[in-house]
Amino acid sequence: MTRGAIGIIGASLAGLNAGLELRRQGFAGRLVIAGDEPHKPYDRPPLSKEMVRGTWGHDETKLAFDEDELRAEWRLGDPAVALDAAAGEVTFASGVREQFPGGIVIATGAAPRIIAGCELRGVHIVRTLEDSTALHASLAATTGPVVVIGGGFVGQEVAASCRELGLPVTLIEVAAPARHALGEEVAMHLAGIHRRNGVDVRLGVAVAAIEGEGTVTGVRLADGTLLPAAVAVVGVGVTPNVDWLAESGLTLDNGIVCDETCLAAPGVVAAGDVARWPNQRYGEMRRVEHWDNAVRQAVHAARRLLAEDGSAEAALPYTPVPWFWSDQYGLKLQLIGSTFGHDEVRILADPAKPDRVLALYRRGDRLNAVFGINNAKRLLAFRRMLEDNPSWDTGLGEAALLLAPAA
Amino acid sequence: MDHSASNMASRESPFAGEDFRMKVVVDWALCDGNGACALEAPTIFELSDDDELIVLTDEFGEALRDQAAAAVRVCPKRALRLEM
Repeated sequence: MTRGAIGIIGASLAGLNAGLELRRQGFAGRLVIAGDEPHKPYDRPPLSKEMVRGTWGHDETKLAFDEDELRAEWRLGDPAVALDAAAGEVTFASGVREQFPGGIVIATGAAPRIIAGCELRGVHIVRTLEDSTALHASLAATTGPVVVIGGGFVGQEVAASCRELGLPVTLIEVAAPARHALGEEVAMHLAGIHRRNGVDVRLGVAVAAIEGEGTVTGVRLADGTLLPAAVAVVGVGVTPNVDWLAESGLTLDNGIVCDETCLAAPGVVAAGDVARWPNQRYGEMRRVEHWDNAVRQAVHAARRLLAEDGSAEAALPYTPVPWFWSDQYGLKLQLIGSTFGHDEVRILADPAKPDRVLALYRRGDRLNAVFGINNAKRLLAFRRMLEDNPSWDTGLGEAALLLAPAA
Repeated sequence: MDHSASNMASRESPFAGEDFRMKVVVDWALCDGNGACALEAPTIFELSDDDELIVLTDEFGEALRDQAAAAVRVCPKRALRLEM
C-alpha cells in the first residue's frame, strides 16, 4: 500500500533532514516541504560568523542535497497559518489548503525575541539570511561603535565577528555570558576571552532603552549610562514558532509538547528548535536549540512517523546526548550533554596546554555534561562516554587519564 | 601502514565481502576538526592528539555506508561528501 502524502512544515535544516530520512527509509509517496522564507534550506551557524564578516554569501550557506533523492515539492515563501492535526490539513497564507494523510513533520523553528527599539535603522537581529546580510551591510558602512545586547552564543559570536572586522564593540549581558547554561566560572572565563580580544564586556547590567530617532544613536543602560551606538545587535533568545498552531489541537507549552518519541499527535511529529520532548536520558522536558539536534531529531522524527504504520522500525524514545559548538576568535567551544540543573562544575587544568579548558558538570552522582575549548579529541572521548550515562567518579577517572602526560 | 588504521581493520574490514566501493572526500578548507564524524564513523575517522582529522580509510564498501552517511550528515562544517 502506498502511503499518502507527507508534509514537512519548515524548510530548514531539520525539515530537510526529515525529508531525506523519509526517502532513505523508503517513503515513495508525495513529499511537500513548505517554508515561510523564499529560500531552500540553508545553514544558520554562518549567519553570526562568516556572513557577518562578509567572507561568505548566500551561496556558501546553501545546504547541499540531491534533489533526485529528495523528490520534494517545494512551497516556499508561503507560511503555514493553521493546522488541523486530526484532519492532517495545513492552511497556508496564500489560502491554499493541503491534506497530508501520510503525516506531518513540524520543524518551524524559533524566532528571535524582539525588544523596543528593534525597529530603528541600525538595530539588527540575527536569524535569517536577510537579517545577516543587513547586519553585514551596516557593519561595512560604519567605524562603530557597535553595541551587542545579550551575551548568549549569538551575541558572543557577533561580538567576535565585529572584532575581526576591527570594530569597537560593547557586549551587554544582565548575568554573565551563557551563565545559565555553563555556570558562573566558565561564563566568566568566556567574558575574559572577549575582554582579551578587545570587547568592552558589561556584566550584571540591564538595558533600559535603545535610543534614536529613526536611526539608532545609543543604548541606555538601567544605571543611566549611555553607550553611543552606530549599530546595535539584539540577541536575547528565541521563542518557538507555534502561533500558527493555536487552533491545531496540539499541546503547546514553550514549544510543541511531544512524547518521548517526538510524536505530538497521531500522524504529527516535531523536530528542532520548536519541539519540546522528555529526554529520558536526563529526565528533562526541554527544547534543544542546537544545530546537531536539528539534524538528529529530524531523522528520529521521520522514522517515528513511518513507524506508525509499521513501515519503519518500532517507535523508540529520542534520548540524545546534546552537542553544541561555537567558534570565536579561532577558538573551538564545545558542550556535550546537559548542564541543566547541575550541582557542581569541576574545571580541570591541563599543565601541558593551559589555553585548553575542560569543565565537567555533575548532577547528583552522574557526569551529565562536559564543556571544552580547543579540546576536540578529549571531548570526543567524553562524548562516547556520555552515551553510557557515566557516574561522576567514572568521569573524573577518565579525565585524569586524558590529562595525564603521555607515557 | 598507520597502526591506528590496522587496529580498526582487524575488527572490521572496510571491504567486508563487498564489490561496491565508495569514497569519502574531505574539504580540508572547511574541516575544523570538531570530531563529529569520528563519533558516527570511528572506522573511517579519528582525531589526532592535535585535534586534526585523520582519515583512517577513505575508500570502503557497503558495510560502512550507513555510518559514512551519518558522518556526512552531522558534520557541522559541511566538509564531507560521499562519492559512489
